[in-house]
Amino acid sequence: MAENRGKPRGELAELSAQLQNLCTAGKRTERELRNAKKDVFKKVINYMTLGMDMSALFPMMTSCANLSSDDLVLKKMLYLYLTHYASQTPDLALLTINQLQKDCADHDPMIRGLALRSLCSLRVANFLEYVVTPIMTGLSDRHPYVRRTAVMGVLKVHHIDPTTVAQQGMVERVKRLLSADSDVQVIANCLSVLMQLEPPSRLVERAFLYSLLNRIKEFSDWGQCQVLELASHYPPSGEAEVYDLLNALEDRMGHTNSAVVLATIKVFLRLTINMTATHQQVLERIREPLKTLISRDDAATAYAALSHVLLLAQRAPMIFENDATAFFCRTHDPWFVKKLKLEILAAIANSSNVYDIVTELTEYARDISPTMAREAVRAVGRIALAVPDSGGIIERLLLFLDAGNAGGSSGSEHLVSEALVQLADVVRRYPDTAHVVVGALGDLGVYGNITEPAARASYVWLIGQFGALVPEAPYILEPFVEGFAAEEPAVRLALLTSAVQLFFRRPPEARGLLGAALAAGVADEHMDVRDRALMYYRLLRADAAAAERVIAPPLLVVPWFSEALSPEARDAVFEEFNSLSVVFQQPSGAFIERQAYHSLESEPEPPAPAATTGDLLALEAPELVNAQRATNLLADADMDGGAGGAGGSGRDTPSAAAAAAALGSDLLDLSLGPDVAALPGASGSMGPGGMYGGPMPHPSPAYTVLPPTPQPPQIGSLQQQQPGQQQQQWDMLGSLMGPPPPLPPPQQQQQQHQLQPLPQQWGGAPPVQGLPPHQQQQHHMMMAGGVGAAPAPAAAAPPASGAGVGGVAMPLPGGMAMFGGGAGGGRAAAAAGPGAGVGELLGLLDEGPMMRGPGGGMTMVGQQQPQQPQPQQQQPAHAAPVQELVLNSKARMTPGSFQDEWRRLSPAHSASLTVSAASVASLTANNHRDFTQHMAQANIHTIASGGQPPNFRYYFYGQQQQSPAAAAAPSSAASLFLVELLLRGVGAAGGSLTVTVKTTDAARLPAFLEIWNACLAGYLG
Amino acid sequence: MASAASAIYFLNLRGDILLERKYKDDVDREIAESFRDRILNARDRDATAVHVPIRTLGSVTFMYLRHADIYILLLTRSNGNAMLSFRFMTSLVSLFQSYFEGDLCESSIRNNFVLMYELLDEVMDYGLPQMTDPAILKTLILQKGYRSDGLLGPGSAADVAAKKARDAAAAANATLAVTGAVGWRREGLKYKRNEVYLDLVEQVNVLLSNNGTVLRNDVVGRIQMKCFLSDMPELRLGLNDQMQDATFHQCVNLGAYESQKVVTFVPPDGEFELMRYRVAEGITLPFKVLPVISEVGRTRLEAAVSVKANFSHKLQAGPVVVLVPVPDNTASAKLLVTAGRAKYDATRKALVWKVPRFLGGAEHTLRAEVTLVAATRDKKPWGRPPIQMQFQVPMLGCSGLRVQYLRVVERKQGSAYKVDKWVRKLCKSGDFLIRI
Repeated sequence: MAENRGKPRGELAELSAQLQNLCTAGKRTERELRNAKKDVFKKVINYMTLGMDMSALFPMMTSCANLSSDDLVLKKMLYLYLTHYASQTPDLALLTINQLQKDCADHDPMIRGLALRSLCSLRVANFLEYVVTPIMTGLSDRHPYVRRTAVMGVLKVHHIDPTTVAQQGMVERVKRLLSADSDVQVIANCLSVLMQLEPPSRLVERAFLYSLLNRIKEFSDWGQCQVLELASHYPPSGEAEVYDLLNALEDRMGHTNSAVVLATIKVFLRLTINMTATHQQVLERIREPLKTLISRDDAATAYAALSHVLLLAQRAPMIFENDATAFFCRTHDPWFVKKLKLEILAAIANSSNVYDIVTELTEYARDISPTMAREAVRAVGRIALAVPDSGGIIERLLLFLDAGNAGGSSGSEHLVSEALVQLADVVRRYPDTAHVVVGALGDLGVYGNITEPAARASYVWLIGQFGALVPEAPYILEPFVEGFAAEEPAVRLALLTSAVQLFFRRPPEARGLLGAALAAGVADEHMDVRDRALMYYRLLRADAAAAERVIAPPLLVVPWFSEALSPEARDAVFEEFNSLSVVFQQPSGAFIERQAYHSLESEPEPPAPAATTGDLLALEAPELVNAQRATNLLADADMDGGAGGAGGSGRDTPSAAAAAAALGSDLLDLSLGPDVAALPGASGSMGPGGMYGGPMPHPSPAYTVLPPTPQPPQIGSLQQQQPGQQQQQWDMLGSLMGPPPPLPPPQQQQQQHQLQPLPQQWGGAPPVQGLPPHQQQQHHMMMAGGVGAAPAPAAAAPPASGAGVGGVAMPLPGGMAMFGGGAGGGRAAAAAGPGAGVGELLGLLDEGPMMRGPGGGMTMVGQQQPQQPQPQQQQPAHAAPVQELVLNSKARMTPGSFQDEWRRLSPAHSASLTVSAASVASLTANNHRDFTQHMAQANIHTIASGGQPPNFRYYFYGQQQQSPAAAAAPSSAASLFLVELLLRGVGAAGGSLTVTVKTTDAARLPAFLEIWNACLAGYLG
Repeated sequence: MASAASAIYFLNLRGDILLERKYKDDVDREIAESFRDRILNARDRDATAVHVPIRTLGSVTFMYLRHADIYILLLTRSNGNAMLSFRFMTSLVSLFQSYFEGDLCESSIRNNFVLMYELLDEVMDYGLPQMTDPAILKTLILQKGYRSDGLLGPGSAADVAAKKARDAAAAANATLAVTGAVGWRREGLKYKRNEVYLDLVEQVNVLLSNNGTVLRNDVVGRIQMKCFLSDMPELRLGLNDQMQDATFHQCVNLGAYESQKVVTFVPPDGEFELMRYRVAEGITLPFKVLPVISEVGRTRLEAAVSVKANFSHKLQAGPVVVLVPVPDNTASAKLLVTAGRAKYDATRKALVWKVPRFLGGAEHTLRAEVTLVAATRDKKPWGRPPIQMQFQVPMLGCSGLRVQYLRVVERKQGSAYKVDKWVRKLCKSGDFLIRI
């Protein structure tokens, strides 16, 4: 077959001739003719399967088949062919409509159903008129086979043209069937169709659900899954009802179909979510079925089940604490199953089972596969962090170091590397263990053996931080410094910090080391390294005591390390139990492109914490979603940045500028967190992962410092990740786009770095000196967004930074780039796009109460500056205050960016009005579609809507239509208007509407409100 | 948000598309082809991530599983239900197997693609699973799978006509069969002799430490039935309640099991899996293994492994294979066994000891002196992977689960209904590992 692929033309001609020939019977008997036709058809289908274009045969195929129309197999092949090519050749397909319609009235239900299914699957919008009648007839066919096909037809038509479905009242017909039909398969299909058309919570109703549950055994496995899915959305009226439902469904857990079992588990979890004690019992009850699913031979099932167990284990580790052995790896488990099992083991470890788990993990560390061995060590590290009584565990980690030692240059480097990285984290968590850990390090002749940058960086950091405990510390670092240039950036950064720290701890010995390190650092090519070296150097020269406070403070205890997923995001995932979200550990928004009809399908949750990973990630590189989870956040920012930079105009200036300002002030603290900086998680080592876009071979946990820690600057230090990241993004972009000589972002970054020495001087900044005009402009642009609301700092900031730039003589190419790169001013806004992404990232990393702030970056600004910028008050830096507003009819916004904006902005306008019951009805009529379509006419688009009667929520957005000229200038992104509309129904008395408007452009708010009010009033009459 | 598949593909191991069935038009062939380029042949990525059965590229999620020499790939753009999708794919495999009366593989797909298209049309509509039960579908789609070269055997015209009439009648009944209480069984079956075969197959998974402590053990068992019974009999199977968890064939009345712990069912005709269960407590291990492995110097390794059959002397184990791993740098091994044969297998890096018949209560040992090649430079220390053991012991139940009774009741015929009942047991090794 495959060898024929080369000559489709010849085949096509041959087949065409054969078909032509078969259209006339000739001398053949009827049966011969039929078999000959079948053979040719089979060939056609075969070529079609191989991907060859057979659409040219359309007329011959149809006439051939129609001439022996009583042959079912021939018919099926023809229909398959039809549905495959109809959308390509609608004109020809039109010819077959007649035959299909005739078949829809055949006496054989099988043919009726078949024809109807094919008719609905033609997917040509023009044919809808021919499809509607057969569907309507089919819905009341006497045979269930036809009815269930017709029900699916409704969904197909809906996806081609929802209005037809609405006009014909098809949904109502389906609903009637749902409640009245006798055939369970018809009911199951009705259910599937309706659940796709509207949120299940609106569908589920007590009496109806009960009737379904009473008949659940009659349904096919798949039908049962649908019923259970519906049941999981049922809001029980009270505890008694919950128990009834649980009892009724308990036997489903013994079903052989794993999908039914998991669907049942979902129902159990969802029904009892508000009943703590019962929920606990449910968790106990589902444990065994889950373990059974895991023990299935079929790895894919086990994988899906394990993903769910992991989610549950993260929520409530206690339920599985006695089941550790169930998650021990089997020899034949595929890697992805083993990895999940390790994650689960790490999640459920507590003081009662930790010994067994760690012993088992130690066995895995001997695994032949280095990846598996590393994962095992990493799991031990995570357990050490999580389980308070970690003495024994740390010993295990140290044993891994020994494993490397004993064998000399043995094959255990990966263990040593991973153990070093984990130990560095453990010491940050439990500083009192430092003595033990560092003691073991001392005789580890690592510097030659350990090649991995992350491990080297960890090692250097440990030596620097605990230099006092290691007598020969300076001499250990010496060879590192000698080979400074050969090290990876992460190691170089760590070396700088460690050298300074050692210097403060043991000045006489480390003096030479420090000098050498700084000299090498200042001469370094890498931007971050050079920056840090310079900064240390100046700080040391300016005020050594301050430098010590900043660079070598006593080790700060990290109370806990953040998980890859915030609790809020995990709850969002839990909401989507039994779906891909759980497998990816991402809320569905992160990996699904919402189509128009999806927006009505799900509950709106714009303020949800769902945006752990921006939609951009999903669109750009969603495969990362499945990659190393810990790196996701890091890679996210990069991808985000890449996208933001590449399509910079997609983001509006103010938000970008605000983020840039946030970035700027974050950078003020660059110097404040050396210990963080030295860790592999910090900027430099993030680079590799980000730069290559792929999963880092070696992700270090993203860590965070809780807001209530005594030293707020540490928060800033966390954000120090930013410069490095941005640098990397642009490196990456640069490599993609070819070498842009004056890199704009480094320039921007450079400027911000120059702010660093002046954090205290904001109030009394010297006047602008010798700042190139374009530079100033650019600054203005960048700062205006973020600080516009705080006039004094806003005024002071650009000069201050300008002075910073101008005041320091920079003998560096970077400085040149900075001055020369003014032309990049326009691009700065685009460059700030990534900043916004990073800001979000940081907001998520920081799991404190700030989480809910209008945006991670912004929150941080709030800590640094007395006044929190109020974006809605800011004036656009460039655009003249034009008051008129034309909304963009083609405005495009992803739910993710909407959420970001919504969280970032504060309300600019809110109002509420009461509406009559009729208005409420008209708003909700037709599944809200009439209303949202009405608003769309005014170019106010709906991003999400939903809710449960009587309360509904809508989210709209409008985007300013820009003149082409304005659109071309990347600095002036279109203004955005985001609207939340809350509809509270009060029964027959009507209801109230609460409108909250947020905008990026306060100047045009009145104009927008005018449009909005006119439009709303127009609808409500 | 019900999950809906967008398309199903069957691909060979190279990633060539063998069969394509699109249910929605939100994916196209190129996306499926990117499966080959970006998932199957992904080289630049971490090799270990490649085989994760669920991946997302763009906003399309790929769920796939491998069966024999093909991949089954399901695409979706929605937030699909992973468990359901995989389960659906495995149902497809068994459906096709049942139609082909052979395995689903690349050649059987090539020979049967028309039939497969027909079936794929019925099993799913617009991405939503419809019915996958072979028993019902076979009444709807009668075409037999072609075992060989896809030639329809010649048949007389009368045959065809008779078949057609049967088809029509069956088609009319087909979906009605689903609605009846007993969708998995046809009415009016007749057998000369009523026979029931019950096979209790248990698979023991064990992990022992080197001193014989049980680190982990469980038994995954299944009850396989073969029924050749007339009319509509109801079977009642009494089991002692030893199971941690059990799942049942759809024919089992789950409510009755929950309340009385009796497995009550009207069986499908022919062969089917009645239930699966898992036991984690009260397991008697069929074998006790005591390994002593010591590295003597750098070039020698001594191994002594003794295996004792821990079951009644009336039983005997089928071929028992013990794999004792040895280091990579093994040069040769001197072996001494009290039963069976043993040799050093360089490809498996193990001493392979086969005992064709292992009597209950017997104890056999393997002694080995392994010579290692002295490495010139320091080698990675030997990881000491566990000893593996494979065996089959007929008529042994190691989980403690017993069939207490199996009753067959036919309402209409009452006591005139005679049934021959056969019960077999088999204990197999699953993951039977002994650490050294």
